[in-house]
Amino acid sequence: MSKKKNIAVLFGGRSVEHEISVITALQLINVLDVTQYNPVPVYIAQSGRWYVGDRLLEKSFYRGLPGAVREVQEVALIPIAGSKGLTVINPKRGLWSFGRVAEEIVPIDVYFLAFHGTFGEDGCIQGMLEMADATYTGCTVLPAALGMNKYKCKKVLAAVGIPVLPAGLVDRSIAQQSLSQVREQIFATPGLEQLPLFVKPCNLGSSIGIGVATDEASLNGCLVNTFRYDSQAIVEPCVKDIMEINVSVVGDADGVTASVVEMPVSLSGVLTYEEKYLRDDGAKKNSDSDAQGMANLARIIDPPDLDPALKQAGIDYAKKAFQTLGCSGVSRIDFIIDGSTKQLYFNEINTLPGSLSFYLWMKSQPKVVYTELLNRIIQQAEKRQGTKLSLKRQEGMRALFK
Amino acid sequence: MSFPFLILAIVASSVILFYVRRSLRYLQFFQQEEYNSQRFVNWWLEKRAFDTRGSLVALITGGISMAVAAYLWGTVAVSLLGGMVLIAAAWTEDDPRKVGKIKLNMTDRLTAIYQLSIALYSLVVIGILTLIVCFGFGAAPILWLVTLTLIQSTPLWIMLANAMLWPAEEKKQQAFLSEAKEILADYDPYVIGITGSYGKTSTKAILGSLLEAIEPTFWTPGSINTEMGITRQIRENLKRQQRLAIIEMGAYQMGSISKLCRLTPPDAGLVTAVGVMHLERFGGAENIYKAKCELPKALPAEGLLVCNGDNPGARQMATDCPKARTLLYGLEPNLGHLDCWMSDIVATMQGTTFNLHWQEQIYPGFTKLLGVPMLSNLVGAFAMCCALGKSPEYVMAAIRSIEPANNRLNLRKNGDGFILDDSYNSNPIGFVSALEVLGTLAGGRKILMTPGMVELGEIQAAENRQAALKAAEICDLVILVGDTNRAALRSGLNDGGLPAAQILEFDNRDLALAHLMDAKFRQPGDLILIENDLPDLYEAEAKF
Repeated sequence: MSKKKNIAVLFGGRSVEHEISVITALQLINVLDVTQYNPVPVYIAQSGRWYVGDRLLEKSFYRGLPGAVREVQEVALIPIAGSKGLTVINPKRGLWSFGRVAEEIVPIDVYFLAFHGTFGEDGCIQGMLEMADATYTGCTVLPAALGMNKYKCKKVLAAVGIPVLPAGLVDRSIAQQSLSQVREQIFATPGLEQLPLFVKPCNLGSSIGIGVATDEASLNGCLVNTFRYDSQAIVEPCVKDIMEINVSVVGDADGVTASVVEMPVSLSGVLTYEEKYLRDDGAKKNSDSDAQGMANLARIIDPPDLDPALKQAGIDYAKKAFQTLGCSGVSRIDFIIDGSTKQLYFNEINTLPGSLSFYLWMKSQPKVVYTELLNRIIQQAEKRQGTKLSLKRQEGMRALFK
Repeated sequence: MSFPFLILAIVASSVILFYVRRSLRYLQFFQQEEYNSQRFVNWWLEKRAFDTRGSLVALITGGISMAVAAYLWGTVAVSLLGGMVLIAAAWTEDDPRKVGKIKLNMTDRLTAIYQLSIALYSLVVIGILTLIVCFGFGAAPILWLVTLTLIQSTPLWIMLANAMLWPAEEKKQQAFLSEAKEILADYDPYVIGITGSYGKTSTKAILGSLLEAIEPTFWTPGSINTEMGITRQIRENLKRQQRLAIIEMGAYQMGSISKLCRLTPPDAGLVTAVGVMHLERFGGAENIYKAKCELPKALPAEGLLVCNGDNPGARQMATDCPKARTLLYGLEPNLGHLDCWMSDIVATMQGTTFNLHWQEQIYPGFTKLLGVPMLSNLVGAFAMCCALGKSPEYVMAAIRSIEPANNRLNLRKNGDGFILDDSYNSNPIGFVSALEVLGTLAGGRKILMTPGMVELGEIQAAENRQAALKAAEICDLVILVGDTNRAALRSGLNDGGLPAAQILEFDNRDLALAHLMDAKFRQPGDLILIENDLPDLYEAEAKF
């Protein structure tokens, strides 16, 4: 029997969704197939330092931050091709070990990415793993980067016929020169002539930094608030009678499968960070990690009242978006439905969705349990890496010595 | 001969183990008094924070061992039992590293003091007890009586250890200090110093948040405002790209601001208020004024000084130490000339709408901040931004997304009611403004929970009484915490006409909070103002 593979589950990271990533990681480590895999939690702290250690599996560890990092071992991924794993930095010497260092490398077979947002979902870490020739899950650099940039993503998908809402892009540096000029530019964009308008960061995954502008003063306020988080803001019309539906897609080059459709329920019309992750309606207080993060959101799975044609359109566009961008692993594609016109629009793609959308796959036909979903994602990653290794990277030293 | 040494071993080990735990509780206070032995001694003597539990055990054990002196094994047994009770007395107390509002922070410095003091204490305990035994006075009752004195001396060893470690500590601090100065000289940011008897931490946070929306800005986090605190922040967090650095400067005594100005020479200064805070430390309002003046005096002649015109002291400073640009801000233009002021203030549950006046222009705005003191800080920060050449329109837009800081008059939901948390405030103006905000909120019962204000010297009782008079007007229920200001607050509430049944008393905040959150007590829509949640030192006397 072959040895169990070491799966490094990477999470945390320098992102506003740091905490949500911790929840996603702890959830998935819980259900990882231990007959095949040996999970190694790898936590990237807000400081950007990497740590391993069993204490990372306990929620109490995160309450003790930043001091708690003393209880775990610092490591680093050195991006040299052919990397065998994570390099131990400043090895901790136990009181009784008399200077003996346990190990210099933590061997890793596959890196499972469980980040959300900047540096983890946007192609940054993917680029580093490519440099190291490492096997990693999910999207490669380009789809990850495209998926993160809301504006460019819409442009690419609109080009293949997926409906999107009109959008304007505002640069922080231009806004700082003149807010009134920026306002004029926005109002001159087709589809954005009228308030209210929706303002959000162009490159941020979660709902942080978003706002609805109802008058010129609040438009200024929303823009400046968005610029606290991103150097580009994207402005969209505010759909009055708004509904949202999400679809998850799993797949790679060989084919894609879509999950059941969900409809998140918002109390205020716009899903805020608080509503997504912090809502506690008092009915039941559940500290069980299975029901935290995105899995905690109030939602209707496969909404019975929704027009089947819209449902099907969502599923078709979701698959098309996934393939157009060249995604792999699991993504969640979010759509907006204008209730008054019954028109569906692509809103955004999450190439590393909260809780990996496992809650959708549990309810899909055929049902996919979380452990199996993770197995598929890991197998795809291994297959992709196999293909990559067979590509030629060298042409010898011919040009230099011609 | 061996019996006395057996008893000595029992007594010494139990009294040392007692110290190992008990000293932590004294260290908690020592740390809160900023490692200042003078202030620590004042607290120790003033509060009579002497040991009772340990001494009682020592006394009783001594007494019993005298009664059984005829039976040698009896005395051994009694001492053994007494020693165990003594150890238990300390080790069953709350661990200050885990319990308490301001927990004991086991920094490297504190750990060194702790360990050295244990070593010193152990040497002294073993030395003294051995001497006594050798000179033939080693009877158990005598050893236990001596132990009583040793237990009482706990704070002394902490201070001695601190004094012994100080030369090395000072050297380390000097090295950090020069490193911070080198970094500053290299990066050369434009430094804005902020001081004031109150409002400086909030103003710094608001100004930092406004400027950061425009360009990379450094500011010291929390209420860090001491030389070593600022030094550490500069060494660890200042970045070359941050062209602006906002430094909060605390005046702990005459000369402390001058010292900070030598560390971070300011290009601009902002003075929020000259008041009566920490009156005891300065010995008079005159000296507080002089201490705050150290900031404008350190500014270059071509510098920028922004002062709160509503505060007589700060306004005076603008006259006494004028710079190339001297600006006054405030909420009350009728008190005298103001360069920047706020009018048309309307408070709601969502926040405050207002008009800001600057250079002949009126800027209507909205903020989530509440209360006159916080709005005053906002005007000061706005004036500073504009004086630095930032676009007023952009700053107004940034103001909309400023979040209220925790514990500084921020409103948060509490079931179907609200908590108005002003626990970091401790000055009379802030107290009254918080009550006014409570008065404007819509909801159920209006409840005030407070231990009153401290460090106000001889006017402390009068100021607390005054605030309580106002509270009687607005509140349906007042919860008094601790006994420091209990009498003064009660007298104000009584004179204000609040029935005695609507005044509750608790020994500490945890008990008071537990009562407030108790389902049996709660009523729909309760609005609770938590005012001036004091550090542990001033709550009901700590029992040792």
